[in-house]
Amino acid sequence: MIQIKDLSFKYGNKEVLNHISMNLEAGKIYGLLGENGAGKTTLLKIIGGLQKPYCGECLVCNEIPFQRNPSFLSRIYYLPEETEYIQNDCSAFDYAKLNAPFYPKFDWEKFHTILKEFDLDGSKKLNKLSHGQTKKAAISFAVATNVDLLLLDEPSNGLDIPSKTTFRRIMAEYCLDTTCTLISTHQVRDLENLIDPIIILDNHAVLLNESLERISEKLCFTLEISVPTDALYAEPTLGGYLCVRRNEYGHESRVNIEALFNATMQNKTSIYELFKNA
Amino acid sequence: MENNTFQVDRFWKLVVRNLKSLKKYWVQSTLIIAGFPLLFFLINISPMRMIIDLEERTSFMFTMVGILMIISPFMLFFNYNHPKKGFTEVMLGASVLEKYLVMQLACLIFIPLTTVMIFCAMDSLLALLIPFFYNGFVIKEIWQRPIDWQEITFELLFLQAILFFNLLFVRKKVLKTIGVFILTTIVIITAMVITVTIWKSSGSLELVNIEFSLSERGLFDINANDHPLVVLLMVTRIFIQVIVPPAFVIGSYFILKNKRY
Repeated sequence: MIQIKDLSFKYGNKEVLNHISMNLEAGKIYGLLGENGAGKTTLLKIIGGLQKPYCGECLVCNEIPFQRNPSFLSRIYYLPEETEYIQNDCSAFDYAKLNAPFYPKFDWEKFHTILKEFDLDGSKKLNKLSHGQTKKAAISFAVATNVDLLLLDEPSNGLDIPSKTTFRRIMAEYCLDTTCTLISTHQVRDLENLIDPIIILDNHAVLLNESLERISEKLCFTLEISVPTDALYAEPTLGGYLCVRRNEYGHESRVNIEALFNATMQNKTSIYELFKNA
Repeated sequence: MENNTFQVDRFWKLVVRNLKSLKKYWVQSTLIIAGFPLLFFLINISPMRMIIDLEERTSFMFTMVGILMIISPFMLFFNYNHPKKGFTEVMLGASVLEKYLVMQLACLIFIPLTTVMIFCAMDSLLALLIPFFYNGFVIKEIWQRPIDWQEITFELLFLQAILFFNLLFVRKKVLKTIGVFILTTIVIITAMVITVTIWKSSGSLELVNIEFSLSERGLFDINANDHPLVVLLMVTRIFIQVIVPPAFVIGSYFILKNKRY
Protein backbone atom coordinates (compact mmCIF):
# COMPACT_ATOMS: atom_id res chain seq x y z
CA MET A 1 0.00 0.00 0.00
CA ILE A 2 2.65 2.56 1.08
CA GLN A 3 6.29 2.34 0.11
CA ILE A 4 8.64 4.87 1.64
CA LYS A 5 12.27 4.71 0.63
CA ASP A 6 15.06 6.89 1.93
CA LEU A 7 12.68 9.79 2.48
CA SER A 8 13.92 13.07 3.95
CA PHE A 9 12.09 16.27 4.72
CA LYS A 10 13.17 19.73 5.86
CA TYR A 11 11.37 22.88 6.93
CA GLY A 12 13.92 25.43 5.73
CA ASN A 13 17.19 24.24 7.23
CA LYS A 14 15.50 22.27 9.99
CA GLU A 15 15.59 18.57 9.29
CA VAL A 16 12.35 16.83 10.23
CA LEU A 17 12.69 13.39 8.65
CA ASN A 18 16.04 11.84 7.86
CA HIS A 19 16.27 9.06 5.27
CA ILE A 20 13.39 6.99 6.59
CA SER A 21 12.17 3.83 4.91
CA MET A 22 9.15 1.65 5.61
CA ASN A 23 6.40 -0.36 3.94
CA LEU A 24 2.82 -0.31 5.17
CA GLU A 25 0.28 -2.93 4.19
CA ALA A 26 -3.47 -2.93 3.68
CA GLY A 27 -5.77 -4.33 6.36
CA LYS A 28 -3.73 -3.10 9.32
CA ILE A 29 -4.12 -0.26 11.79
CA TYR A 30 -0.68 1.25 12.31
CA GLY A 31 0.08 3.30 15.39
CA LEU A 32 2.55 6.09 14.71
CA LEU A 33 4.20 7.17 17.95
CA GLY A 34 6.85 9.71 18.71
CA GLU A 35 7.74 12.64 20.91
CA ASN A 36 6.67 16.18 20.01
CA GLY A 37 8.45 17.32 16.87
CA ALA A 38 9.48 13.82 15.84
CA GLY A 39 7.80 14.35 12.45
CA LYS A 40 4.58 12.34 12.82
CA THR A 41 2.26 14.94 11.34
CA THR A 42 4.77 15.79 8.62
CA LEU A 43 4.98 12.13 7.64
CA LEU A 44 1.17 11.91 7.47
CA LYS A 45 1.09 15.06 5.34
CA ILE A 46 3.69 13.66 2.94
CA ILE A 47 1.73 10.42 2.61
CA GLY A 48 -1.46 12.44 2.12
CA GLY A 49 0.09 14.61 -0.62
CA LEU A 50 0.03 17.83 1.38
CA GLN A 51 3.80 18.11 1.59
CA LYS A 52 6.57 17.28 -0.85
CA PRO A 53 9.57 15.25 0.36
CA TYR A 54 12.96 16.93 0.21
CA CYS A 55 14.42 13.75 -1.24
CA GLY A 56 13.64 10.06 -1.40
CA GLU A 57 10.52 8.28 -2.57
CA CYS A 58 7.01 7.92 -1.24
CA LEU A 59 4.52 5.83 -3.20
CA VAL A 60 0.91 5.33 -2.11
CA CYS A 61 -1.12 2.84 -4.15
CA ASN A 62 1.68 3.19 -6.73
CA GLU A 63 1.07 6.92 -7.06
CA ILE A 64 3.18 9.90 -6.03
CA PRO A 65 1.04 11.63 -3.39
CA PHE A 66 2.15 15.21 -4.09
CA GLN A 67 0.82 14.98 -7.65
CA ARG A 68 -2.62 14.96 -5.98
CA ASN A 69 -4.23 13.05 -8.81
CA PRO A 70 -8.00 12.51 -8.47
CA SER A 71 -7.39 8.74 -8.67
CA PHE A 72 -5.19 9.08 -5.57
CA LEU A 73 -7.29 11.62 -3.66
CA SER A 74 -10.47 9.55 -3.99
CA ARG A 75 -8.69 6.63 -2.33
CA ILE A 76 -7.34 8.39 0.74
CA TYR A 77 -8.73 10.45 3.61
CA TYR A 78 -6.64 12.62 5.92
CA LEU A 79 -8.18 13.65 9.23
CA PRO A 80 -6.08 16.46 10.75
CA GLU A 81 -5.80 17.04 14.49
CA GLU A 82 -7.62 20.37 14.27
CA THR A 83 -11.13 20.38 12.89
CA GLU A 84 -10.86 23.91 11.44
CA TYR A 85 -10.88 22.43 7.94
CA ILE A 86 -14.53 21.51 8.29
CA GLN A 87 -16.93 24.10 6.94
CA ASN A 88 -18.84 24.70 10.15
CA ASP A 89 -21.85 26.66 9.00
CA CYS A 90 -23.53 23.43 7.91
CA SER A 91 -24.63 20.22 9.61
CA ALA A 92 -22.73 16.91 9.56
CA PHE A 93 -25.30 15.60 7.07
CA ASP A 94 -24.84 18.63 4.80
CA TYR A 95 -21.07 18.31 5.03
CA ALA A 96 -21.32 14.67 4.02
CA LYS A 97 -23.72 15.48 1.17
CA LEU A 98 -21.24 18.01 -0.17
CA ASN A 99 -18.14 15.83 0.03
CA ALA A 100 -19.33 12.20 -0.19
CA PRO A 101 -19.70 12.28 -4.02
CA PHE A 102 -15.90 12.50 -4.25
CA TYR A 103 -15.45 9.17 -2.41
CA PRO A 104 -16.78 6.39 -4.64
CA LYS A 105 -17.10 3.86 -1.80
CA PHE A 106 -18.79 6.23 0.67
CA ASP A 107 -21.30 4.31 2.80
CA TRP A 108 -24.26 6.42 3.98
CA GLU A 109 -25.62 3.67 6.21
CA LYS A 110 -22.27 3.38 7.95
CA PHE A 111 -22.12 7.16 8.36
CA HIS A 112 -25.55 7.26 10.04
CA THR A 113 -24.72 4.27 12.24
CA ILE A 114 -21.42 5.76 13.45
CA LEU A 115 -23.06 9.12 14.20
CA LYS A 116 -25.67 7.24 16.19
CA GLU A 117 -23.02 5.27 18.07
CA PHE A 118 -21.32 8.56 18.94
CA ASP A 119 -24.73 9.82 20.07
CA LEU A 120 -24.45 12.76 17.69
CA ASP A 121 -27.27 14.62 16.00
CA GLY A 122 -26.19 14.87 12.37
CA SER A 123 -28.70 17.58 11.57
CA LYS A 124 -27.24 20.05 14.07
CA LYS A 125 -25.01 22.77 12.66
CA LEU A 126 -21.33 22.04 13.29
CA ASN A 127 -20.70 25.51 14.72
CA LYS A 128 -23.24 24.71 17.43
CA LEU A 129 -21.26 21.61 18.48
CA SER A 130 -18.32 21.37 20.86
CA HIS A 131 -14.80 20.57 19.61
CA GLY A 132 -15.20 16.94 20.69
CA GLN A 133 -18.55 16.59 18.92
CA THR A 134 -17.15 18.13 15.71
CA LYS A 135 -14.31 15.63 15.94
CA LYS A 136 -16.82 12.79 16.24
CA ALA A 137 -18.61 14.02 13.11
CA ALA A 138 -15.26 14.20 11.29
CA ILE A 139 -14.32 10.67 12.40
CA SER A 140 -17.74 9.36 11.29
CA PHE A 141 -17.25 10.87 7.86
CA ALA A 142 -13.66 9.64 7.59
CA VAL A 143 -14.56 6.01 8.42
CA ALA A 144 -17.65 6.05 6.17
CA THR A 145 -15.55 7.06 3.15
CA ASN A 146 -14.28 3.44 2.99
CA VAL A 147 -11.07 4.65 1.40
CA ASP A 148 -8.01 2.49 0.91
CA LEU A 149 -5.84 4.67 3.12
CA LEU A 150 -7.06 6.42 6.24
CA LEU A 151 -4.68 8.89 7.88
CA LEU A 152 -5.73 10.00 11.35
CA ASP A 153 -3.75 12.63 13.25
CA GLU A 154 -4.43 12.48 17.01
CA PRO A 155 -8.03 11.30 16.49
CA SER A 156 -8.74 10.74 20.19
CA ASN A 157 -7.72 14.29 21.21
CA GLY A 158 -10.76 16.15 22.44
CA LEU A 159 -12.93 13.04 22.85
CA ASP A 160 -14.45 12.31 26.26
CA ILE A 161 -13.77 8.96 27.97
CA PRO A 162 -16.86 7.06 26.70
CA SER A 163 -16.27 8.41 23.19
CA LYS A 164 -12.70 7.09 23.24
CA THR A 165 -14.07 3.62 23.88
CA THR A 166 -16.64 4.10 21.11
CA PHE A 167 -13.88 5.31 18.80
CA ARG A 168 -11.85 2.13 19.39
CA ARG A 169 -14.91 -0.02 18.77
CA ILE A 170 -15.81 1.86 15.60
CA MET A 171 -12.31 1.58 14.20
CA ALA A 172 -12.16 -2.13 14.95
CA GLU A 173 -15.65 -2.81 13.63
CA TYR A 174 -16.06 -0.54 10.63
CA CYS A 175 -12.62 -0.21 9.05
CA LEU A 176 -12.49 -2.43 5.98
CA ASP A 177 -10.00 -5.29 5.66
CA THR A 178 -8.72 -3.58 2.54
CA THR A 179 -8.03 -0.30 4.32
CA CYS A 180 -4.64 0.66 5.65
CA THR A 181 -5.08 2.94 8.65
CA LEU A 182 -2.28 5.05 10.04
CA ILE A 183 -2.98 6.71 13.38
CA SER A 184 -0.58 9.25 14.82
CA THR A 185 -1.00 9.69 18.55
CA HIS A 186 0.42 10.67 21.90
CA GLN A 187 -2.47 9.07 23.73
CA VAL A 188 -1.30 5.46 23.44
CA ARG A 189 -3.63 4.29 26.21
CA ASP A 190 -6.60 5.49 24.16
CA LEU A 191 -5.62 3.21 21.32
CA GLU A 192 -4.42 0.13 23.19
CA ASN A 193 -5.94 -3.05 21.76
CA LEU A 194 -6.47 -1.23 18.46
CA ILE A 195 -3.14 -0.38 16.90
CA ASP A 196 -0.90 -3.10 15.55
CA PRO A 197 1.85 -2.76 14.23
CA ILE A 198 3.61 0.02 16.10
CA ILE A 199 5.87 2.58 14.43
CA ILE A 200 8.07 4.75 16.65
CA LEU A 201 9.67 7.83 15.13
CA ASP A 202 12.61 9.39 16.88
CA ASN A 203 15.39 11.77 15.96
CA HIS A 204 13.61 12.09 12.64
CA ALA A 205 14.09 8.40 11.87
CA VAL A 206 12.13 5.15 12.29
CA LEU A 207 13.28 3.51 15.50
CA LEU A 208 10.79 0.68 15.48
CA ASN A 209 8.26 -0.70 13.00
CA GLU A 210 7.05 -4.04 14.30
CA SER A 211 3.86 -5.99 14.96
CA LEU A 212 2.77 -6.59 18.55
CA GLU A 213 3.48 -10.29 18.06
CA ARG A 214 7.09 -9.61 17.11
CA ILE A 215 7.47 -7.12 19.94
CA SER A 216 6.24 -9.66 22.49
CA GLU A 217 8.64 -12.21 21.03
CA LYS A 218 11.56 -9.89 21.67
CA LEU A 219 10.47 -8.07 24.82
CA CYS A 220 8.53 -9.11 27.86
CA PHE A 221 6.38 -6.84 30.00
CA THR A 222 6.12 -8.04 33.58
CA LEU A 223 5.10 -6.83 37.00
CA GLU A 224 7.97 -7.25 39.47
CA ILE A 225 8.31 -6.51 43.19
CA SER A 226 11.73 -4.93 42.63
CA VAL A 227 13.52 -3.68 39.53
CA PRO A 228 15.52 -6.51 37.91
CA THR A 229 19.11 -5.71 36.92
CA ASP A 230 18.47 -6.56 33.27
CA ALA A 231 15.39 -4.31 32.99
CA LEU A 232 15.44 -2.00 29.98
CA TYR A 233 12.77 0.10 31.58
CA ALA A 234 10.86 0.08 34.85
CA GLU A 235 8.13 2.27 36.24
CA PRO A 236 6.54 2.10 39.68
CA THR A 237 2.96 0.93 39.62
CA LEU A 238 0.43 -0.53 42.04
CA GLY A 239 1.89 -3.72 43.47
CA GLY A 240 5.46 -3.20 42.27
CA TYR A 241 7.19 -2.22 39.05
CA LEU A 242 6.13 -2.58 35.46
CA CYS A 243 9.31 -3.81 33.78
CA VAL A 244 10.36 -4.19 30.17
CA ARG A 245 13.08 -6.76 29.54
CA ARG A 246 14.55 -8.72 26.71
CA ASN A 247 12.46 -11.83 26.22
CA GLU A 248 15.28 -14.35 26.44
CA TYR A 249 13.19 -17.28 27.65
CA GLY A 250 10.17 -16.98 25.35
CA HIS A 251 7.76 -15.65 27.99
CA GLU A 252 4.35 -14.67 26.74
CA SER A 253 3.27 -11.23 27.87
CA ARG A 254 0.87 -8.52 26.80
CA VAL A 255 2.58 -5.51 25.19
CA ASN A 256 2.09 -2.34 27.18
CA ILE A 257 2.46 0.29 24.45
CA GLU A 258 3.23 3.16 26.81
CA ALA A 259 5.95 1.14 28.55
CA LEU A 260 7.26 0.05 25.15
CA PHE A 261 7.46 3.66 24.01
CA ASN A 262 9.26 4.77 27.18
CA ALA A 263 11.62 1.77 27.04
CA THR A 264 12.42 2.58 23.41
CA MET A 265 13.07 6.25 24.21
CA GLN A 266 15.44 5.28 27.06
CA ASN A 267 17.26 2.52 25.16
CA LYS A 268 17.19 3.69 21.58
CA THR A 269 20.28 1.88 20.36
CA SER A 270 19.65 -1.44 22.11
CA ILE A 271 15.97 -1.58 21.02
CA TYR A 272 16.93 -0.62 17.47
CA GLU A 273 19.65 -3.29 17.41
CA LEU A 274 17.38 -5.90 19.02
CA PHE A 275 14.81 -5.65 16.23
CA LYS A 276 17.29 -4.93 13.47
CA ASN A 277 19.20 -8.11 14.13
CA ALA A 278 16.08 -10.23 14.49
CA MET B 1 -7.74 4.19 -16.68
CA GLU B 2 -9.01 7.30 -14.94
CA ASN B 3 -8.26 10.63 -16.60
CA ASN B 4 -6.41 12.60 -13.97
CA THR B 5 -6.43 15.91 -15.85
CA PHE B 6 -10.05 16.58 -16.71
CA GLN B 7 -13.31 14.67 -16.60
CA VAL B 8 -16.66 16.29 -17.32
CA ASP B 9 -18.63 14.41 -14.64
CA ARG B 10 -16.01 15.15 -11.98
CA PHE B 11 -15.94 18.80 -13.01
CA TRP B 12 -19.73 18.96 -12.85
CA LYS B 13 -19.72 17.37 -9.38
CA LEU B 14 -17.28 20.07 -8.27
CA VAL B 15 -19.43 22.84 -9.77
CA VAL B 16 -22.48 21.53 -7.92
CA ARG B 17 -20.48 21.20 -4.69
CA ASN B 18 -19.28 24.77 -4.97
CA LEU B 19 -22.75 26.13 -5.60
CA LYS B 20 -24.13 24.19 -2.63
CA SER B 21 -21.27 24.95 -0.24
CA LEU B 22 -21.57 28.67 -0.98
CA LYS B 23 -25.32 28.62 -0.39
CA LYS B 24 -25.04 31.04 2.50
CA TYR B 25 -22.98 33.41 0.36
CA TRP B 26 -25.48 33.29 -2.52
CA VAL B 27 -28.39 34.14 -0.19
CA GLN B 28 -26.49 37.02 1.40
CA SER B 29 -25.29 38.47 -1.89
CA THR B 30 -28.75 38.14 -3.47
CA LEU B 31 -30.14 40.31 -0.69
CA ILE B 32 -27.29 42.83 -1.02
CA ILE B 33 -27.49 43.01 -4.83
CA ALA B 34 -31.28 43.36 -4.64
CA GLY B 35 -30.67 46.41 -2.47
CA PHE B 36 -28.51 48.16 -5.11
CA PRO B 37 -31.39 49.46 -7.34
CA LEU B 38 -33.21 50.62 -4.24
CA LEU B 39 -30.07 52.34 -2.96
CA PHE B 40 -29.56 54.01 -6.32
CA PHE B 41 -33.16 55.22 -6.27
CA LEU B 42 -32.85 56.66 -2.75
CA ILE B 43 -29.54 58.40 -3.51
CA ASN B 44 -30.75 60.01 -6.72
CA ILE B 45 -34.33 60.94 -6.06
CA SER B 46 -34.95 64.54 -5.06
CA PRO B 47 -37.65 67.18 -5.65
CA MET B 48 -35.34 68.68 -8.31
CA ARG B 49 -34.92 65.39 -10.08
CA MET B 50 -37.96 63.18 -10.48
CA ILE B 51 -36.59 60.72 -13.04
CA ILE B 52 -34.03 58.03 -12.24
CA ASP B 53 -32.14 58.02 -15.52
CA LEU B 54 -31.95 54.71 -17.36
CA GLU B 55 -28.46 55.37 -18.66
CA GLU B 56 -27.16 56.10 -15.16
CA ARG B 57 -28.88 53.03 -13.68
CA THR B 58 -27.32 50.81 -16.33
CA SER B 59 -23.87 52.31 -15.75
CA PHE B 60 -24.32 51.82 -12.01
CA MET B 61 -25.21 48.17 -12.54
CA PHE B 62 -22.18 47.52 -14.73
CA THR B 63 -19.93 49.22 -12.18
CA MET B 64 -21.36 46.96 -9.46
CA VAL B 65 -20.89 43.88 -11.68
CA GLY B 66 -17.26 44.87 -12.24
CA ILE B 67 -16.55 45.49 -8.56
CA LEU B 68 -18.22 42.26 -7.39
CA MET B 69 -16.45 40.24 -10.08
CA ILE B 70 -13.06 41.68 -9.18
CA ILE B 71 -13.39 41.03 -5.44
CA SER B 72 -15.17 37.67 -5.87
CA PRO B 73 -12.02 35.52 -5.27
CA PHE B 74 -11.78 37.04 -1.79
CA MET B 75 -15.47 36.41 -1.14
CA LEU B 76 -15.65 32.86 -2.49
CA PHE B 77 -12.21 31.34 -2.07
CA PHE B 78 -10.65 33.23 0.84
CA ASN B 79 -9.63 30.10 2.79
CA TYR B 80 -8.53 28.02 -0.19
CA ASN B 81 -4.82 28.21 0.69
CA HIS B 82 -5.24 28.43 4.46
CA PRO B 83 -2.79 25.98 6.14
CA LYS B 84 -5.64 24.39 8.12
CA LYS B 85 -8.95 25.51 6.63
CA GLY B 86 -7.88 24.69 3.09
CA PHE B 87 -7.59 20.90 3.63
CA THR B 88 -11.12 20.04 2.51
CA GLU B 89 -10.69 21.71 -0.86
CA VAL B 90 -7.21 20.43 -1.62
CA MET B 91 -8.05 16.84 -0.59
CA LEU B 92 -11.19 16.64 -2.74
CA GLY B 93 -10.96 13.98 -5.42
CA ALA B 94 -10.72 16.32 -8.39
CA SER B 95 -7.79 17.53 -10.47
CA VAL B 96 -6.07 20.88 -9.97
CA LEU B 97 -7.29 21.95 -13.41
CA GLU B 98 -10.89 21.17 -12.50
CA LYS B 99 -10.61 23.05 -9.21
CA TYR B 100 -9.04 26.00 -10.99
CA LEU B 101 -11.68 26.07 -13.71
CA VAL B 102 -14.43 26.04 -11.09
CA MET B 103 -12.81 29.10 -9.51
CA GLN B 104 -12.73 30.91 -12.85
CA LEU B 105 -16.28 29.84 -13.65
CA ALA B 106 -17.61 31.15 -10.35
CA CYS B 107 -15.82 34.51 -10.62
CA LEU B 108 -16.18 35.08 -14.38
CA ILE B 109 -19.65 33.69 -15.04
CA PHE B 110 -21.68 33.02 -11.90
CA ILE B 111 -21.01 36.28 -10.07
CA PRO B 112 -21.58 38.68 -13.02
CA LEU B 113 -24.59 36.69 -14.23
CA THR B 114 -26.27 36.57 -10.81
CA THR B 115 -25.57 40.27 -10.23
CA VAL B 116 -27.10 41.26 -13.58
CA MET B 117 -30.12 38.98 -13.08
CA ILE B 118 -30.91 40.14 -9.54
CA PHE B 119 -30.27 43.80 -10.32
CA CYS B 120 -32.47 43.70 -13.43
CA ALA B 121 -35.25 41.86 -11.57
CA MET B 122 -35.27 44.42 -8.77
CA ASP B 123 -34.99 47.35 -11.19
CA SER B 124 -37.90 46.01 -13.23
CA LEU B 125 -39.97 45.56 -10.10
CA LEU B 126 -39.32 49.15 -9.03
CA ALA B 127 -40.04 50.44 -12.53
CA LEU B 128 -43.37 48.62 -12.51
CA LEU B 129 -44.33 49.72 -9.00
CA ILE B 130 -43.35 53.40 -9.39
CA PRO B 131 -43.26 53.96 -13.16
CA PHE B 132 -43.38 57.77 -12.86
CA PHE B 133 -39.79 57.81 -11.54
CA TYR B 134 -38.40 55.50 -14.19
CA ASN B 135 -37.87 56.08 -17.89
CA GLY B 136 -37.32 52.47 -18.94
CA PHE B 137 -35.98 49.09 -17.90
CA VAL B 138 -32.29 48.29 -17.40
CA ILE B 139 -32.90 44.75 -18.70
CA LYS B 140 -33.85 46.27 -22.08
CA GLU B 141 -31.08 48.85 -22.08
CA ILE B 142 -28.20 46.39 -21.54
CA TRP B 143 -28.77 44.82 -24.99
CA GLN B 144 -28.61 48.19 -26.73
CA ARG B 145 -25.49 49.41 -25.00
CA PRO B 146 -22.19 49.05 -26.91
CA ILE B 147 -19.71 46.69 -25.30
CA ASP B 148 -16.78 48.53 -23.73
CA TRP B 149 -13.95 46.08 -24.43
CA GLN B 150 -11.42 48.37 -22.81
CA GLU B 151 -13.30 48.24 -19.51
CA ILE B 152 -13.89 44.49 -19.75
CA THR B 153 -10.19 43.89 -20.40
CA PHE B 154 -9.22 45.88 -17.32
CA GLU B 155 -11.80 44.10 -15.16
CA LEU B 156 -10.49 40.74 -16.34
CA LEU B 157 -6.94 41.82 -15.62
CA PHE B 158 -7.87 42.87 -12.10
CA LEU B 159 -9.85 39.66 -11.53
CA GLN B 160 -6.89 37.50 -12.55
CA ALA B 161 -4.59 39.59 -10.36
CA ILE B 162 -6.90 39.23 -7.32
CA LEU B 163 -7.27 35.49 -7.97
CA PHE B 164 -3.48 35.19 -8.08
CA PHE B 165 -2.84 37.23 -4.92
CA ASN B 166 -5.66 35.43 -3.09
CA LEU B 167 -3.77 32.19 -3.68
CA LEU B 168 -0.31 33.67 -3.15
CA PHE B 169 -0.86 35.38 0.19
CA VAL B 170 -1.98 33.36 3.18
CA ARG B 171 -2.46 36.00 5.86
CA LYS B 172 -3.61 39.65 5.57
CA LYS B 173 -4.20 38.98 1.90
CA VAL B 174 -6.49 41.97 1.23
CA LEU B 175 -4.04 44.45 2.72
CA LYS B 176 -1.08 42.86 0.95
CA THR B 177 -2.93 42.87 -2.39
CA ILE B 178 -3.78 46.56 -2.06
CA GLY B 179 -0.14 47.17 -1.14
CA VAL B 180 1.06 45.35 -4.26
CA PHE B 181 -1.29 47.39 -6.48
CA ILE B 182 -0.09 50.68 -5.00
CA LEU B 183 3.54 49.62 -5.29
CA THR B 184 3.11 48.47 -8.90
CA THR B 185 1.48 51.77 -9.86
CA ILE B 186 4.33 53.71 -8.25
CA VAL B 187 6.93 51.53 -10.01
CA ILE B 188 5.27 51.93 -13.44
CA ILE B 189 4.93 55.72 -13.08
CA THR B 190 8.50 56.06 -11.79
CA ALA B 191 9.83 53.92 -14.65
CA MET B 192 7.99 56.07 -17.20
CA VAL B 193 9.20 59.32 -15.62
CA ILE B 194 12.80 58.05 -15.56
CA THR B 195 12.56 56.93 -19.21
CA VAL B 196 11.19 60.30 -20.31
CA THR B 197 13.85 62.17 -18.29
CA ILE B 198 16.65 60.10 -19.84
CA TRP B 199 15.24 60.62 -23.33
CA LYS B 200 14.89 64.33 -22.71
CA SER B 201 18.42 64.78 -21.34
CA SER B 202 19.95 62.82 -24.23
CA GLY B 203 18.13 65.13 -26.64
CA SER B 204 16.27 62.28 -28.37
CA LEU B 205 12.87 63.46 -27.18
CA GLU B 206 11.27 66.56 -28.52
CA LEU B 207 8.48 67.72 -26.22
CA VAL B 208 5.50 68.93 -28.21
CA ASN B 209 1.77 69.14 -27.54
CA ILE B 210 0.33 65.73 -28.38
CA GLU B 211 -3.33 65.20 -29.13
CA PHE B 212 -3.67 61.60 -28.10
CA SER B 213 -6.16 59.33 -26.36
CA LEU B 214 -5.42 55.67 -25.57
CA SER B 215 -9.07 54.70 -25.79
CA GLU B 216 -9.29 55.88 -29.39
CA ARG B 217 -6.49 53.57 -30.48
CA GLY B 218 -6.66 49.83 -31.09
CA LEU B 219 -4.44 47.68 -28.90
CA PHE B 220 -1.73 47.11 -31.51
CA ASP B 221 -2.40 50.32 -33.45
CA ILE B 222 1.12 51.78 -33.30
CA ASN B 223 2.11 53.98 -36.25
CA ALA B 224 5.65 54.51 -37.53
CA ASN B 225 5.40 58.30 -37.16
CA ASP B 226 4.01 58.18 -33.59
CA HIS B 227 5.71 60.31 -30.97
CA PRO B 228 8.04 58.22 -28.70
CA LEU B 229 5.81 59.01 -25.69
CA VAL B 230 2.79 57.59 -27.51
CA VAL B 231 4.77 54.48 -28.39
CA LEU B 232 5.84 54.13 -24.76
CA LEU B 233 2.22 54.34 -23.56
CA MET B 234 1.03 51.90 -26.22
CA VAL B 235 3.77 49.38 -25.39
CA THR B 236 2.97 49.68 -21.68
CA ARG B 237 -0.69 49.03 -22.44
CA ILE B 238 0.15 45.97 -24.56
CA PHE B 239 2.31 44.66 -21.71
CA ILE B 240 -0.45 45.18 -19.11
CA GLN B 241 -3.28 43.81 -21.24
CA VAL B 242 -1.57 41.02 -23.18
CA ILE B 243 1.37 39.74 -21.15
CA VAL B 244 0.23 40.25 -17.55
CA PRO B 245 -3.20 38.46 -17.54
CA PRO B 246 -1.88 35.11 -18.89
CA ALA B 247 1.01 35.40 -16.43
CA PHE B 248 -1.50 35.67 -13.57
CA VAL B 249 -3.55 32.76 -14.97
CA ILE B 250 -0.49 30.51 -15.22
CA GLY B 251 0.80 31.73 -11.86
CA SER B 252 -2.48 30.93 -10.05
CA TYR B 253 -2.58 27.45 -11.54
CA PHE B 254 1.06 26.89 -10.59
CA ILE B 255 0.40 27.96 -6.97
CA LEU B 256 -2.63 25.65 -6.73
CA LYS B 257 -0.63 22.76 -8.15
CA ASN B 258 2.36 23.19 -5.86
CA LYS B 259 0.83 24.55 -2.68
CA ARG B 260 2.15 22.81 0.44
CA TYR B 261 0.03 22.60 3.56
